[in-house]
Amino acid sequence: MTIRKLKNFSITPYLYLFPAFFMLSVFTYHSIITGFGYSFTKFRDFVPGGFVGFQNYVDAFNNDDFIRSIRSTLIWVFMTATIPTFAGLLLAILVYYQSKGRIVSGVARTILFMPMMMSAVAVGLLWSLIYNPLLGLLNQLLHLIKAIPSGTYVGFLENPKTALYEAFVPMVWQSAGFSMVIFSAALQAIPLDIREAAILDGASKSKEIRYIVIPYLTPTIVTLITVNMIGGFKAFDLLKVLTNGGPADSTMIVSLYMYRQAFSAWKYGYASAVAVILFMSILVSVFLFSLIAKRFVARRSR
Amino acid sequence: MPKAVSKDTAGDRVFNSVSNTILIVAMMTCLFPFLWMIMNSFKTSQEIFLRSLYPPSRVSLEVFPRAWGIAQFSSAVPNSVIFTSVNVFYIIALSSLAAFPIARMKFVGRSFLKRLLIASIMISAQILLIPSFFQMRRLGLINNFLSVVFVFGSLIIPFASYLLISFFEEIPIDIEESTKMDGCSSFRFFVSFMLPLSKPVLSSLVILTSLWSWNEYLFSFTFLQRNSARTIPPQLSWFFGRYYTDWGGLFAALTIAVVPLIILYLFLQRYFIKGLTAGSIK
Repeated sequence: MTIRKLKNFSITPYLYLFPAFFMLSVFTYHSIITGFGYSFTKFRDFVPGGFVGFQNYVDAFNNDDFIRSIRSTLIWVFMTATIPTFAGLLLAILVYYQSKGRIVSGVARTILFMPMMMSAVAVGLLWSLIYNPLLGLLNQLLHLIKAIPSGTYVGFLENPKTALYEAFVPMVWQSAGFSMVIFSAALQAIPLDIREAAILDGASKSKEIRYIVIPYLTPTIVTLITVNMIGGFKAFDLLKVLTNGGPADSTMIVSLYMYRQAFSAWKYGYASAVAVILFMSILVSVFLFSLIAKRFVARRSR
Repeated sequence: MPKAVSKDTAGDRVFNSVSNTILIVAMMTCLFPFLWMIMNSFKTSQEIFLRSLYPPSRVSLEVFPRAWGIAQFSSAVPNSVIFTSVNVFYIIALSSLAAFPIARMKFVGRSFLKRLLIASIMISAQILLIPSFFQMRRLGLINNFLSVVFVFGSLIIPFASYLLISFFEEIPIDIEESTKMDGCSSFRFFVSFMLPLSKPVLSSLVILTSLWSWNEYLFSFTFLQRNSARTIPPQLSWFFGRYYTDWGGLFAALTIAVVPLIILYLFLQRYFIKGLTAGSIK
């Protein structure tokens, strides 16, 4: 006993840490390094190639398809960061101010959160049916309200100019409820006496929302924008099954482009460079956004 | 409630009716696609084609066994169950083991490892995809669900550990000291005190990781190439690509994949919502 007490160094903590860090080293850290390595080689068609320096990166930025996919990704990320967040904020505030508070908020929460249970794949496939020109829900509805003459249809996801925005609708459909639930939880944390004081002073609802509720929610807004922004960069499943990048590559976001270059064109070196660029842009944008957010939150709370 | 102090003004009434309208439209928009999907899964392909918006003229159940067969759910469903269980166990076991010493012990390299774990949350799946694919080919794990556990499961360990570390740190030190006095080993303490005390965070983690695993697509789609090896999401997308004119089958397959989870959610809503929001509230 005394000997063990005297000994300062113990192997015990490392035994606990070993399994997790062993697996992380073999399957995560090692793969990242390998991925970076591949991005500097001419690896294609299952034949590991020689070192080519930054050639893959140069090729990527000289490739119009890649530049276009960056543009779609930036639009997509901007939309995922803002639209579900603010839709959720709006819904949460509406539910909060409901006169029949408890029941309505319970029902609204149950229903609006439900799509979160679905996989992005199921959401994409369901919406491919909803958008279907022949039997789809939307076209049938448009026929029902006589918005379009029978025999004609609106070709959703067929116009390269609008497909990205149409493909974004399922995304809002699925994730606005998530933001709403988080905002609802944050709203419950606002001290009631502050609101009561505002009401006694004759503040209207809009003033109360503007000067009490929104400042209180600012940290939550920042968190959700960050979470949704990262999610936007990682988006893959939904667009893979809904549009697979089409029509005319208009919904080919970077993650889909990378997948296509790797597993359809077998340009593994090039695709690895694209993956590295994607990874770096996530890190950089999260970092930049946290800088902006920090200043914004600091100014708000002053 | 705030209602007690505020009086109903004209402005309030306008606010209430506008807010009611928006909420009802939002709820209908959320709910209607589900109802439409379930409704159409009871119809034949011809009837869907002619009138997908209306309730079925005759409820026919024969579409389900057919869709189950063609979509090969008889292998995809057990595959998903096995993969999800193993993956959840893998993540929780390894994360809680790693979180315990970081939260409760003093040792060389502690703050470095903690920082490394937390930084690793930022690693995205896309950058691992290509190197992992070749690693799994070398290890002969293509078409084996363990490949997805090792890559996708490991990717979640940092996040799960982070949640567990912050919870473990909150557990009072007195309990640990009194058990030590009684001659309890650190592992006994971990298993019979720490884990039971962490039930709230563990249950959130189980829900969260189950749902993520059940819905995982990127790695299973890439690594599990044989139909008999696939889990539900890649199998479903394969079925949609292959049998895109079998309308009845598509609706039925989607219903089979989605509805059980919705039913589970309706019963365990509180836990699902708590679990899914666990990660994003600071």
